[in-house]
Amino acid sequence: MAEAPRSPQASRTNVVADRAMAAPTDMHLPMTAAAPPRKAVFRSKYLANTRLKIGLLIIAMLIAVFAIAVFFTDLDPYRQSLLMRLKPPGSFGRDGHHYLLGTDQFGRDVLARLIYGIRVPLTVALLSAVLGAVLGLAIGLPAGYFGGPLDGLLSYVVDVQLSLPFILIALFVLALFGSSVPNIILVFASLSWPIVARVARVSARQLRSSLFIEACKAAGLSTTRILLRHVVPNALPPVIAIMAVQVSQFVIAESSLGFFGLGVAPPEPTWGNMLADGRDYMSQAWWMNVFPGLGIVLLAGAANIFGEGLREVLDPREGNADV
Amino acid sequence: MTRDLLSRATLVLRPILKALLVMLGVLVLVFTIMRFAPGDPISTLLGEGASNQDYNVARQRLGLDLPVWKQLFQYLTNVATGDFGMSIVHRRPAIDVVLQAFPATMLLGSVAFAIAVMLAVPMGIASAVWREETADRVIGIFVLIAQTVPPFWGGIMLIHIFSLNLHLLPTSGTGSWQHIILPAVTLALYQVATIIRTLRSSMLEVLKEDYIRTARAKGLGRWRIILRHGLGNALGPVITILGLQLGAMFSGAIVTEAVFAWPGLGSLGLGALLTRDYTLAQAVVAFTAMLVVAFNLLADALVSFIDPRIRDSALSSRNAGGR
Repeated sequence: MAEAPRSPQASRTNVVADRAMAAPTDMHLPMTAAAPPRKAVFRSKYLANTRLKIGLLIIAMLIAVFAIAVFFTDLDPYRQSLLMRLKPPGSFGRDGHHYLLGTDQFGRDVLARLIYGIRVPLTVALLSAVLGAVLGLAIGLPAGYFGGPLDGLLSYVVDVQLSLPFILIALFVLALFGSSVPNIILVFASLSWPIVARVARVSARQLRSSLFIEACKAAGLSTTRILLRHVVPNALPPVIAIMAVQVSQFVIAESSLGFFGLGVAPPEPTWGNMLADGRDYMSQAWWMNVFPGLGIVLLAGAANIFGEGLREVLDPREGNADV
Repeated sequence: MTRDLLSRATLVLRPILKALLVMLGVLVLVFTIMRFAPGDPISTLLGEGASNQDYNVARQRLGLDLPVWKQLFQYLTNVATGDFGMSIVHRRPAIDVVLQAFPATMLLGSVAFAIAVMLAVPMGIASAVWREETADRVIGIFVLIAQTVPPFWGGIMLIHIFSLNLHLLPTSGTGSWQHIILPAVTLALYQVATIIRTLRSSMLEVLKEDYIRTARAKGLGRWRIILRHGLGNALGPVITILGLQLGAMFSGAIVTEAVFAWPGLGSLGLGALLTRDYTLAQAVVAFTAMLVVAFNLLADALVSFIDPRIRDSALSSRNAGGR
């Protein structure tokens, strides 16, 4: 189905057709609108949404705190100090270092580990969501657009996926194949793409029978071109909203893996690893139990709120039914 | 007449057939993961220092010298006859160990579900009835918190408050009725968000229906309408979604069990992974997934039982030559 090489003339025709078709596309989707200026749309829709703002603000704040800690402070999440084991919040080290949130069983600074702890969950969650979305689109769009056996197979795979306990399978695979950031991302993406595929499939089915796709066909665009240039952009908004919610779930899932000792290997500060450490010191060091969880809740909650906001803005149909 | 009977029969058989197919898919997946994992299962089984002859005998006994498709077929027939292999650590058939742990998970799951329903139904109704008012907003915040607090951290916090500080409840394990309270509440908090959200949107849909207006026109009391006509009709989608979410709910149960050392499937599966008893882990994964499929089937049956509209519409569409 790859696009055959065309003469320059033919490709120019294609571009013209693409542009012509873009107009009706935009009517469906103010997101890429040409008629009202983009800035105005952005202001009125995106900035007016409280959830979107709150979610984005919290995420930006967390990243800013991390960046400040890295570039402007000497906080070190790895430095151990045997004299400073399990010290409560507010303790001072011999070198005068102020342990604002206390220390862990190796005398490492909980605050430093908490701030650096955003690195792995955020990376894993974002990359997993992107990879899952790419896979889901690549399978869901053709399934919905062409229908037939591929479509049947997809709904079957979705059924299988939904009956798997996510965490158990993830732990199972990572225990067998070894746990690393790339492996965790692969597992998350391969367990979650069917959710994206299901949504993409519905969009593609609706688009298939829409007038402007008919027009694209009439203009002689190749199927690949129609799918990539006209179906994908229109199917994207609900998928993006789902991705944001998935990021929130992946943050929690990554922490669960760490908590069970199957996340990224120990000296790396992740919130899950920190909670796993703290589990053995529950009656001695409450600070090891409380703060990493707050990190998870903040990041996962922010991503969740952001996703809800995105859904309201991008996908008003569903937004109305649910909000 | 016979035609009607026939379509009724297919109506019953179709979902069962579909469920069996999904189970098959789950088993093939689990088999594939095991089969392609790095490492040599025989070496792990025999330990170091086994002779070459022992190795070959074990290889033959376990059927690992057969082509992969034959191994798969063997695995499927074994599972169909209830043989999930031997647990290396427990030195008993894996299925026995699994079945022994199953009642604990069921008990925890049912108590948690009961708590979740008792919390979620009033909240779901309230947030639909007072849509966008204070009650709805407060419940919305509660839902967000319940959704983003990972069960393992929620459990730890509950232990801190009720066991370590107030000394009211045991921290973990089993033995008395008090032992189930904390894990059940933790798991219930994990489930409650889904139920509230689904019930809310389902109620909002139902309350727009004509029959609600009719009931109001008849002069029935407000709460009578909401509870009898609204809730009754809104429950169908809730049960369907809960059925679909069962896999996710089992994930929650697994995590919760591990935190509270509750001796169910979750603790068993996790222990199996950590002791490298992969046969047992495989059995737990397969069993849990099949359980989810079975419960899903039950949820579908329940929905068509309480909502005759679904049954009838399915029947008539089939008779009319629908899909």
